[in-house]
Amino acid sequence: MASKLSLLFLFFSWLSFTFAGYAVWQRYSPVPLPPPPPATASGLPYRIRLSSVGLDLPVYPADIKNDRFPTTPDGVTFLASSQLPGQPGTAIFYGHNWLRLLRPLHRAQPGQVVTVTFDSGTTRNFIIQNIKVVSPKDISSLSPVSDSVSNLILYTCTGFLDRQRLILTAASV
Amino acid sequence: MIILFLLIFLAVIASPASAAVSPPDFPSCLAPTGSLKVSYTSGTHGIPGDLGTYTGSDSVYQVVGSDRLIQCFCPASGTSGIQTNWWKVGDLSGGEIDDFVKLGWIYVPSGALWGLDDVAYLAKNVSFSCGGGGSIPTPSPATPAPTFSPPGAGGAPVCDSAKPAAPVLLSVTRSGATATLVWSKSENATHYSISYGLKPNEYTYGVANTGNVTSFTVQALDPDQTYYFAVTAVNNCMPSDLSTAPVGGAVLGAFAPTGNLITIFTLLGLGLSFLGLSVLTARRFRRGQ
Repeated sequence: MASKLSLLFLFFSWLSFTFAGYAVWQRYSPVPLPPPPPATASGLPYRIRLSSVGLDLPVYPADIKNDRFPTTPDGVTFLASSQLPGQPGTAIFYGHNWLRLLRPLHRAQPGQVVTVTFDSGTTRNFIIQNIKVVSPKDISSLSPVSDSVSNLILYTCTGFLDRQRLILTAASV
Repeated sequence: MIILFLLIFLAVIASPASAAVSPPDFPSCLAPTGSLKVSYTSGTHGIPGDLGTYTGSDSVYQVVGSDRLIQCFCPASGTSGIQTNWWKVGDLSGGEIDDFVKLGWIYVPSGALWGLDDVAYLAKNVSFSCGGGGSIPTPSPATPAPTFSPPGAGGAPVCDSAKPAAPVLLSVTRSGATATLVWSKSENATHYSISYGLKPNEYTYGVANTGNVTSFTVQALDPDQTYYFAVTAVNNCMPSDLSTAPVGGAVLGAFAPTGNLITIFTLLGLGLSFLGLSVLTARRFRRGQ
């Protein structure tokens, strides 16, 4: 009986290490992302690019469900209930701080250009105004500058145990 | 003893029926509560008991779980608003209705003319200060409407506008006595209204019309209180459902979790724990043999 219990614990241990290994691989693997679904010309953001740090990622629009933010391992999430990039208000993008996703955001500097490409093929440029690290509960950055200014916010996790958020705010050109 | 009974008998006989049936309480248009039935930002409206027509904004709220409604009219210019309290007559007897009419209530044989149910209502007008410009109205003492005349003024408002999607409340930033709300734009919305209160889903205060914006600063809050907020998109006269995530202070609480280090360390910890348990169990098994 004790032998079977020992084997069961060993199995759970193996399972935990396997999942941990997969999570580490997800975080640090530089393997290319899977190709995004074809553009549907719905007028939503399709790609986001920050050339100066080598970042060019597909965008997946999603919305808050049951008071939870969806995230994707395949690109950057665009909060569909936020404002469309270029419209007055704030467009919100976020993603994991994995090597193949938004880890390069840590090298971004104010003045660099963020380009959003829509699935219709049009593009919109934003200049990074400021970069700051805040607590996950400090959401004052989401407040719009004014009703007439078009802003873009791109953020990811940072800090000890990913407990902070690196917030990049860019204004429409 | 007989005199005492006689006094009680006379008191019962002499007291009006309305004393036995008290009029219900109505929320004030200064802080409207309940569900927003219709909301017009402009147009010509009628006031029960008044043959004139009035130009301005008009919103109707139904008090949750009751047959009561309040109609809040604010004129296009000036701040002298008129609140009409609507009360379904229901089981009131003719005598009781007469007594309420003597007390200043207006008998409306059918609410259909006013866009309400086709049943009899009692209505009463009181004045309030609209504040203007979408700001929170400033309180003023309620006074009865000066005149009474048969119903019939104005037309029955029928709202055939499309129901807009409920906005998502993205953030509420508190700073002392103010709170700045940011919400998502809703298609077809012509304006938005804000409901807030001291308990979740119990909104006792409100801003009827913020204009067609996606942020608004609510003022005159108690800095020591936690408030809960919700936003409604309105398409001309048709309100949406309440916005999601009505919480106080910081809506949605936080930014999205975009890292996985905690997951990794948790899994590693679990793996080590199970490994330790496995070794301990195996040793105990060997000792037992």
